[in-house]
Amino acid sequence: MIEINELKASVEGKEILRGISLDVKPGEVHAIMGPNGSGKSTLASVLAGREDYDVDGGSVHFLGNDLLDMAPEDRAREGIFLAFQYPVEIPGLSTTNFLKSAVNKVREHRGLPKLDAVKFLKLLKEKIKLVEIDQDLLSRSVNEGFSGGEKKRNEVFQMAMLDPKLAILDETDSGLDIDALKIVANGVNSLRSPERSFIIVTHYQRLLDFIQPDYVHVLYNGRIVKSGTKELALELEERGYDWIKEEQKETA
Amino acid sequence: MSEILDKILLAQKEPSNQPSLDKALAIGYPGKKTEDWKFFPAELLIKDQNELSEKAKTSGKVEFSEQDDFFHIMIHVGDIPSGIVYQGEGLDISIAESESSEAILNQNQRGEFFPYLNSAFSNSELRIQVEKGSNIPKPLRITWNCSGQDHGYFVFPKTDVNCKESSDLKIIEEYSSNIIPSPIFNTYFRAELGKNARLELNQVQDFENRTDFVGYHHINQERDSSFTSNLISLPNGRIRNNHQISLNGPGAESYLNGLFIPSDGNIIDNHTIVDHVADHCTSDENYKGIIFDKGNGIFNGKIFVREGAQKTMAFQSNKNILFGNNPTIHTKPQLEIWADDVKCTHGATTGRLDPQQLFYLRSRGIDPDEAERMLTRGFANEIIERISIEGFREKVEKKVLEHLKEAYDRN
Repeated sequence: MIEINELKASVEGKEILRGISLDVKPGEVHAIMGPNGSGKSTLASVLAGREDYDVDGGSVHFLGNDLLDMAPEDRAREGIFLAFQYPVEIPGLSTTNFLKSAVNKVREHRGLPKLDAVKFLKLLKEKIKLVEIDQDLLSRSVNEGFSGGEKKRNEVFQMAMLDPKLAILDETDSGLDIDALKIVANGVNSLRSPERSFIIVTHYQRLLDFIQPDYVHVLYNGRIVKSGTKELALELEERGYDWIKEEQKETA
Repeated sequence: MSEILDKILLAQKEPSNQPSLDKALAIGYPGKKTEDWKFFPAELLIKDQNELSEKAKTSGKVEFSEQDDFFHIMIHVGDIPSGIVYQGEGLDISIAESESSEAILNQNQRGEFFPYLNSAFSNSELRIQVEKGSNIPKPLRITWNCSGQDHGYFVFPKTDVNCKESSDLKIIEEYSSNIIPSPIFNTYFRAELGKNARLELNQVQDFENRTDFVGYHHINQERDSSFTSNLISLPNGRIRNNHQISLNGPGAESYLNGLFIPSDGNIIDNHTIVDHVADHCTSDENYKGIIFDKGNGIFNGKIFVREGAQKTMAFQSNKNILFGNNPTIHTKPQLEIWADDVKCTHGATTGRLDPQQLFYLRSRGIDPDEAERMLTRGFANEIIERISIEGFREKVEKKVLEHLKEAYDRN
């Protein structure tokens, strides 16, 4: 699905990713964990094409194509979806309105016919159930006046609507109470399929109680310093990140 | 500036109100040194007109019709004899002799030139009275159209609205001109809101032919009344708007919403004054500018909170988005507070579209160009959606979209 090879990236001259390699196969769920400032969100942003970051080296191939060469909108159409850590508020533009354009752009790119208003509404009603959002909320301005939990659920809802091949969740669990967390996790779980992969960036092991990852990677100082199965997440929960930092000091 | 005054006097018909003319002459035609006119070239308005040597002498007329969605008053600008236009449904509409200069003097405390000029030459006015407790079922659409010849440099539409206690009225106010070059509109609109009365005033400034416009609104509000102004300016020429609101009775509320989209050498200058005279009043002012290449936007908003106007809530915001190479915006919020228990905020922002918002839309598969248009539309929508008249609101939205599209394509 996606092959990341020695990816290096910086922001305003400050090196953040120092050579990340990761291979995600179709249907797999990879969790990326790590202490604050390790580069987790940068990785998610670089994959989605955020222009604040400079890619300094390495390569990323998505379904065989050079991802780093593509504009953000092309990545989305090819099947990459980023659930934002901090979803942006857009006054005056409703989620429904902008999603209709987005869905049809993506469908057009994939050679599918455009959805008319009726079919779009049908799809919307079907997907809305996954995240238990009130439909009225979607006719209001994007994320404006939404609670933290509503914003994150709206991200998962958009993911369901856009039907991506690779979904990247950037700390979608942060700040959620247990009920909202369950809703978000259920939404994600119902979208799991042998064709769809996930990269789940999280600071807390808690999310992984609800979404079972196939692999867990620990990011520290811009590198993946440890990879394992979900048992690694449990170990991190128990021991914190300090032992990872210590290990790194020793090897350095 | 006296040269300009001489030209005006030569071309306009005889003044119907000499005391007002005397006042106007004493104040003098506003120029660059007049503080409130620094950025609006009032002197160019006359210079850019064709030279006129004959006195204006156009007769006008007024027509009233009831449509499915609104009552329509169509006024062809010019001399109109006094008389009843419509009576019924709690409405009393007439053409009446213009008020005395004292009435204008009371309103025009800031000693502005143009309200006096209007008063001097508008021999009649459109007078609308809404009876006590009347909820007018359809909006009242008022169209002032300028056609025919021999108007002089200026035309002087004048409207006087009296909303009596607990009445409810919505107005669509429009001005248009078939003359090229069009005479300058010098309009005056006054409204009195009685206790608990509600008035929503919607104005779209959207001239087909290049037209200059200087308009005044004076609104006086009694206890518990509510006033909303939705002002959409898509200038084709130069527009100066002046809104002056007096909150004279406790519990009154005023909402001033403005959207202005100048491009291509056009100017839009919005001046507002909100005067909190009584206690427990609320004012909320929201003006948004979208300024394209070589467009010029001005916002000057004053809020006064008088001594004794305790528990005032006064908010003011002016946000602007700039496009292209040489857009200009001058924004000046001013706050004068003489009471000590009040809640007031004001602020202005100016910049390009937010890159975070753009990225958000692009990350969902939307083209950068379309994302920009969506965000701009969203920015404009925040004002348009304040219009409560369905059908009309959709028309306004369409007009704004067309205007935005033209400005984009030129850019």
